[in-house]
Amino acid sequence: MFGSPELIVFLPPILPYLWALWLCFRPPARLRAVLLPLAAQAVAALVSVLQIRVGGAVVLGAKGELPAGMVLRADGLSAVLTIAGTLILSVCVIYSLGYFQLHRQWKTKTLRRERFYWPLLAVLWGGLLFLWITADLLSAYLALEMLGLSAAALMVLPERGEAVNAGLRYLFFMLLGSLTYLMGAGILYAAHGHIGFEALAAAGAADAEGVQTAALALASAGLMIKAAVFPLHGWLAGAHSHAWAPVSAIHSALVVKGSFVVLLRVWMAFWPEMHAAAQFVGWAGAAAIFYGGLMALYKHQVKQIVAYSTLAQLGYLLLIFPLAAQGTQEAAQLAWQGTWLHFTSHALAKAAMFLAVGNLMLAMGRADLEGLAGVDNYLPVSLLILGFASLSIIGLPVSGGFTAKWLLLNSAILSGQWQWVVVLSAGTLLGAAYIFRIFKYALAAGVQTGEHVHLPVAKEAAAFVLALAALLLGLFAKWPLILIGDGAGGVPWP
Amino acid sequence: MVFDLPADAMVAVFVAVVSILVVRIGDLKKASVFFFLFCLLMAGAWVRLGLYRLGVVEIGIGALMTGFVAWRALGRLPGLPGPDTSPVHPVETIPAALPLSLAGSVGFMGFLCVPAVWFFLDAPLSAYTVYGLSGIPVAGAGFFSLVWHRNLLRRLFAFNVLGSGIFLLIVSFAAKLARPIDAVFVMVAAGLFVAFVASLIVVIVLGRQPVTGAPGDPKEGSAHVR
Repeated sequence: MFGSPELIVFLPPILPYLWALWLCFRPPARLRAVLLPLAAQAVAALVSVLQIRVGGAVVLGAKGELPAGMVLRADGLSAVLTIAGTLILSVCVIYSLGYFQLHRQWKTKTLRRERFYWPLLAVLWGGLLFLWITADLLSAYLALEMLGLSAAALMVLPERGEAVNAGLRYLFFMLLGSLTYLMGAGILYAAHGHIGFEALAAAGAADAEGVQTAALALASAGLMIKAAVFPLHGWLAGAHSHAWAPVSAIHSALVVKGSFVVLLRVWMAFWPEMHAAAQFVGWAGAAAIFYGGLMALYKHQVKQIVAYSTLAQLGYLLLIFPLAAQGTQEAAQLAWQGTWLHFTSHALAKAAMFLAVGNLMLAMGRADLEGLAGVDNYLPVSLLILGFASLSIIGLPVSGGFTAKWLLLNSAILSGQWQWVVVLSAGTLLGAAYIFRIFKYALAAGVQTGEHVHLPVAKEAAAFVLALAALLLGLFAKWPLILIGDGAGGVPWP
Repeated sequence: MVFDLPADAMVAVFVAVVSILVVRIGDLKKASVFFFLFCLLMAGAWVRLGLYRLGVVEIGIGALMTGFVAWRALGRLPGLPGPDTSPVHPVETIPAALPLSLAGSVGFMGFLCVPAVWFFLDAPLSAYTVYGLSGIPVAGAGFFSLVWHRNLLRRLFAFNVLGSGIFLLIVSFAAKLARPIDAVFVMVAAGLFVAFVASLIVVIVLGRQPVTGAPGDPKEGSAHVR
């Protein structure tokens, strides 16, 4: 088994750890120092996609080859997520080079923490790609911890008090969430004797019904704390608005969603038992959509607007539970595809948005809405990135966000659940309102503050790739959807 | 090891009592000594359960590594060790914080009783029952302290105590139904290592924070006192 060539699909999660070791000793200062690792990562990701497309999903550990019964599964979905994650992280690495270079010119204190930044970023990268391929309770826990700890460490790097406070708040929320999850996972293992999701699904409830409900409640609560699901989102806005721009981008685009992936996998393993709770989680998602949208409409700091927008957009992901639980097979498949498309396009667009906002803040030296006035004269590229990303966040046609919401809407209509049609439409209007509010200030005519720092176009434009990808994802949605499939692979939909 | 009810019950009661002392005692220096003692008692419990590997991991990662880091943190907190003057929420921000934290902790313990009853109720009394049941008050004390305290070091102790309670529960559940212990062993070892890394992050942050603001002052530099 260990000699077979298809195991190449497990290469992408390994490479970042090797790079992390290297980065401990040699923090990169220029583009050429990161080109080779980024290229290697991209090639590994592409090769694994090709292998999965040609040879199908690869499962390692189903017969107990891995220690402690762990199971890894690289399938079409994990391939799409690996590509998206690699693209976003590569752009963030290139952006960070420019970010630190500017700070070097300005001789700010930020630099004193730069050497911690690089290895932590690589560990986060590895944890993320590892998370996409986990197929059991234990390895999901290990991946979530790697992700959460490196993300929390990245958040406390800035030396400003409020950034440290927000980062530490995140750290403790994350720790509480992972212990709660671990409790649930431990009980599930003790009750069933398996940790693999597929084995758990096959084992069924049997006599363990009552204790299994308690365990699933614990595991879900823990994962929901980490995924900032509505009433448990207390850490999100502060953490995202105070961290460095690339850290906010990565966290908002990818890290928060990692816990959602595990949540969905746990629920799918116990799908028949979870039906009753699905509507409840859907309403939590709807509450997040409205609360996040209203807060974004009300906040005055640009990064906080973007952070609350993340909270709202995460709500759409939760709609898959009621949509798949109540409807027909076809509605469930549409919800599955729409959810993953939303996942990917939101990740691309939100990363682009945070990076563009980071540019605006670097150049204007302010973080509030008024400070944006006249920015269209100085930073047209960043504003364009923000515009492209906004199209996808709101869900306007041709963007990935549009196609995703279209699929979700169809699923809601098909399954006759009109309440989610209302939620989707109202949420979209709310999204348009808070996004246009940013542009109202940015495009205010006749205002010349005159004070700004010149950003080289190359540094400004790194995020353009992401915004463009989010936009094009709508037109070329067919390709990722072929890989993602209809969710029927090993999943007992209703 | 052979099950010996008086001896095992005594160790279990000690574990629970010391866990409450760790999170409730006012003096942080004493609290960190009790934390070290708590880790040793946990290792003793693992050995009594026949899980020698876990005992070694508990002493290595829990007592030595995390204990050392916590001890270092004490030296970096100005005004400490000594009476901890800021263990509570600023009352004006959260009304009824104490009743809420207590109620949350009691509810959490009640919730943990559900699986405990299912696993232990109709089985003969054994070491696993004794240590598993002691995990409930330990986890409750940790949960309360994690919600209630603002002091970072106290939160670290609370997190470790909550974790230990949960480890006691899941290990005894798995052992009760004779599941292979490997998966739970990795969970517990990883959990202890995570607690160590979290402590390290907090201590590094404490070490470089200039201390300005008064306790409870939400401004610059007060990261560790609130």
